[in-house]
Amino acid sequence: MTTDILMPPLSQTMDSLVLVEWLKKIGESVNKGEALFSVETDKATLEVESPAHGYLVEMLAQPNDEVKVGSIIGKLSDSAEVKLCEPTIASHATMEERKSETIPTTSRIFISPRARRLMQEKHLLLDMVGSGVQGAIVERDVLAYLQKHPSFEEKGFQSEKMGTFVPSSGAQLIELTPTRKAIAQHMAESYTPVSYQREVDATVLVDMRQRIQQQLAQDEINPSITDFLMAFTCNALARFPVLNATFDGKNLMLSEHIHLALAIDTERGLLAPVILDAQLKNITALAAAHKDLKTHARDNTLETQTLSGGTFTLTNLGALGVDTFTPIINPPQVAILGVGRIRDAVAVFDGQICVRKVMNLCLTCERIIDGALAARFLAYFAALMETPEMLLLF
Amino acid sequence: MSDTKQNKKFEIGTEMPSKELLLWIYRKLVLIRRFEETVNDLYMQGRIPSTLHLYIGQEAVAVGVSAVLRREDYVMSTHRPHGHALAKGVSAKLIMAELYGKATGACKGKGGSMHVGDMSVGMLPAIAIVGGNIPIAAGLALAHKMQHKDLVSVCYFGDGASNEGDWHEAVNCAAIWHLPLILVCENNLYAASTPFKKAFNVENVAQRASAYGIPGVAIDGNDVLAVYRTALKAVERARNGEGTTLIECLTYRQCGHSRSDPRTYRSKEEEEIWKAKDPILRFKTFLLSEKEANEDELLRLEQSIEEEIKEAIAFADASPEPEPNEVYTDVFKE
Amino acid sequence: MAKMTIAEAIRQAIREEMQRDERVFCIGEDIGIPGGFGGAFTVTLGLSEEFGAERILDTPIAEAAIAGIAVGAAIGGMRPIADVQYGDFLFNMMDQLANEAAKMRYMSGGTLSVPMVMRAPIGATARGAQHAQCLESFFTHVPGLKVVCPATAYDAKGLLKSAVRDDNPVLIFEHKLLYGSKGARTEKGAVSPVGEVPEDDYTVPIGKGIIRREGKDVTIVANLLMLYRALAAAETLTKQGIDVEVIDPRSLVPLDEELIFKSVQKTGRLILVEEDNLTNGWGAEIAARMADTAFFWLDAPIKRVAAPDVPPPFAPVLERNYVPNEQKIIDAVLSIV
Repeated sequence: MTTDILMPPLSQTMDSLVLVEWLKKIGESVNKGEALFSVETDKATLEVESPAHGYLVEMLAQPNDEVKVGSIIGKLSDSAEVKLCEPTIASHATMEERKSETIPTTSRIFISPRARRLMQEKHLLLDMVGSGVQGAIVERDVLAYLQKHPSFEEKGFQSEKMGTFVPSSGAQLIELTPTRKAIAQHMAESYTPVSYQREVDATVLVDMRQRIQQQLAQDEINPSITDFLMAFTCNALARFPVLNATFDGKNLMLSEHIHLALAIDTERGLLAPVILDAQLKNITALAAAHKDLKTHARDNTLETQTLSGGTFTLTNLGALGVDTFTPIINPPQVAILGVGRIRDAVAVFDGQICVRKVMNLCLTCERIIDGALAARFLAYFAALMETPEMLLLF
Repeated sequence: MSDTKQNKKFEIGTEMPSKELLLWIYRKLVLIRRFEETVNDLYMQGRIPSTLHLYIGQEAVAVGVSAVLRREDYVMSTHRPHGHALAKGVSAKLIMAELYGKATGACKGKGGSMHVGDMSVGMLPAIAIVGGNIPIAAGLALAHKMQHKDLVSVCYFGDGASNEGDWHEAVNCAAIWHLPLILVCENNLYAASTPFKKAFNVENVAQRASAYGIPGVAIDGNDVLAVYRTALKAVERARNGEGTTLIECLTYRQCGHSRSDPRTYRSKEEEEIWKAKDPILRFKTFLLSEKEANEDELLRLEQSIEEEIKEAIAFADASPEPEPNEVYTDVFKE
Repeated sequence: MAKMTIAEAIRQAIREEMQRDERVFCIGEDIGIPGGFGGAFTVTLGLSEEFGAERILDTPIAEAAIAGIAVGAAIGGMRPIADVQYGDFLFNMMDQLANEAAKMRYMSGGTLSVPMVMRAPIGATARGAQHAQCLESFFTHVPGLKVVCPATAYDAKGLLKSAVRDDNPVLIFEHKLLYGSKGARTEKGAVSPVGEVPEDDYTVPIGKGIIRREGKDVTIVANLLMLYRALAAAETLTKQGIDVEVIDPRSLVPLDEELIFKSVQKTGRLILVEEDNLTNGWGAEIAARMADTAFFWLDAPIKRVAAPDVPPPFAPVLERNYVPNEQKIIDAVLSIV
């Protein structure tokens, strides 16, 4: 959809006004109300606001042109489609200029090889008109974007001990442009996520933890229940990879890496920093990472990048006394596992009435995840919790 | 105003080679003849990948000239080099292997029939551009002169080459610098299919020598002793610093220009006339009649030649082909 | 160290090589004639007095003979430095260079080599089409020939020496407007760079280019006179905030591809500038190679600035539109930044 940009009636006395300059370039986005161009009247030079949100796709008047009030001086579009050639004014256009005139209007984006290489390095995909030859996205356009959106700097993917990991081609992360984000948001809103609950017997787990604790020295890391749950999560996600994925409203992107986001209570509220490649960490390593995150959280030094890039979230509100709750998915992840308080309860075990330690699991999934699969995930998770010796197999 | 040394009249002597040399000459004549006839057969059998330019009928020229040369004297040849090569001492094995395109060939399989040579016996890898070898031969002669060596440089070429620009430029330079160069023109009456009379408004190529101020003679190129005596004089001149000589050898190639030549531009009568003047036949007759050799000696020589050629074929057959990656080597000297 | 013009530097190089090695000699037209001009551009002036007429060998007007005799002499153990008076005359000796000199080593299976040098002055100088051609590209295309083009006095001496000592045929292209010839042979419009040239023996390796000006936005590869035009353009462009890197290839065969690649990797933009006609020029070859090996480093299309595909014209106004100038180079840069 395009919007006309009109020369506004800024002067009482004059029928035509002079366009002084455009304040945006072709292909640049502009918000409604933002200054778009400036005009000279008999009294002063005034800035004129954009009539709508969109991308500036056409300039029909050039600086110093005198334009009749009310005529169209340009066009906005809500997509970045742009005529990829500028009309040439030169009387003897060169061969090259003439060639570019015959390029048809197209929504194809040109990207220079150098810019594409940089985008691949930074796990980035831009759809915009660039500042290079023929409207191509060139290196400086990518660098400019990166400066504005530092969360996509490469160091966000550095794993603490293992070095830098580059997600493999099947796990490409795609940054959502404003347009796409809006789309995704709409999609997210129109879907209703589904929650699945299951009560788990945690007696064996608690007992195991205590026995382990007795064997550890004072200064050795003592894994918490959450740490064990993280290990179970990684194990289970290996079996149910479709839950370790991101969804952009159009494509489901499974990841080979489990970048596990762990909900942590901080001053700023509940944050979910990410432990990268959790699948490569054993329980001790996970515990250490957890401890590290808690320290950062307490000191308010959690890096911005640690908060993004997760493929699955685990949230344990048991410490805060919550028995059961419905956790909310962090888009673009497709699932989140919430865990409640471990409490004593009367239960039937081996045909006997006894007191067992129980805990509630709640898995929330995007509607695109199959219900039976979600149920099986929980069943397997429960089996791991109730027979933690299974971890010895892996 | 020319130097009297250079202007000395060119007189051919009457020297008779020693018996040893006479037999050497005969052996070379027959070796070339039999080699060329054999490779012709091999070509017809499809065993040689390239075309051939055979020397059959012209043997007396190469042999007569080579008989007076030292090993270190250089000869420069043409697209028809097998006779020149064998006469100068290039082994039949090396030539055969090169014709077969094998790695053991004279040029490691990279040159082919028209470029055979062997620097160690004074035969440069031949040049197939008609007329292109004369300036190079002059350059070699210049090098000999500058190095104060009494070596000579011989350049073989056909009648047709003496119409090339390069020929004239080079002969002129050789003349003004008195280079130790022997120009040997094998006038076989045809340049490919073009008869002499169509390409020349003079009677002989030898006449052109005077245009450059050098001596030029035309001789019976099928008389190996005539060639020998003329070459002897020319070489003597050159080694004495008297400069360049042009020797025109009137001869005839009994075969076509190349293997793909049906020779329909020559009459059968003409071919028969020249066959009767066959140089080997004449020399053999001479040897026997002058009692310089007997039938048995000559037969033994002929048999040894058959052996030599057989060995050459066996060698070529058994030799490996060049490695495919050899295509990249020998462009530059590192 | 001494300050020398290019002509003087080449002369000095020839002198030193002839002193060092008695196999070295010069052969060409009008190079040694007593009272003469020492070659068309004064390079051999005075050498025949020093070395004698036998080693500074004057020839008749016979280009094919000059080349062929040089080939033969080289095979025979000498080290000839041959020359043509104008590069255009290389065409007269094309067979000897391309069919003989270039191919003899290969055809012989490596059993001989042709250690000769052929010097050729090139460039448009208001003499008309047949005395103006830049023609390196005809020879960069011939396997078996090395091609160098020194643009400074230091390189002229060093490359001549390397060429003489190289065991292969080497063509040295010199630009008429860079010689700095004096007196009666002064060229109008010459650039005449004068440079510091060490007095001792040194060589410049064949196959190595040099960065004349470092920059980070655009790479320009330009040789001979065009090098100076490119440097001037680079200066002008700094005012527009564009930082140009200028490479003098010095050697076209073998080419210092690595140097050019690293530069394109850095800047992402490449322009080739030559005085030769555009189509199939050596610039096209480098453009093709970089489009291949440096493809993913390119931020813009590769551009070439060259003479149009016409014979070199005479009238000064036409020649000015033929030979690439500073403005054309600037325009090319601006079209891709």
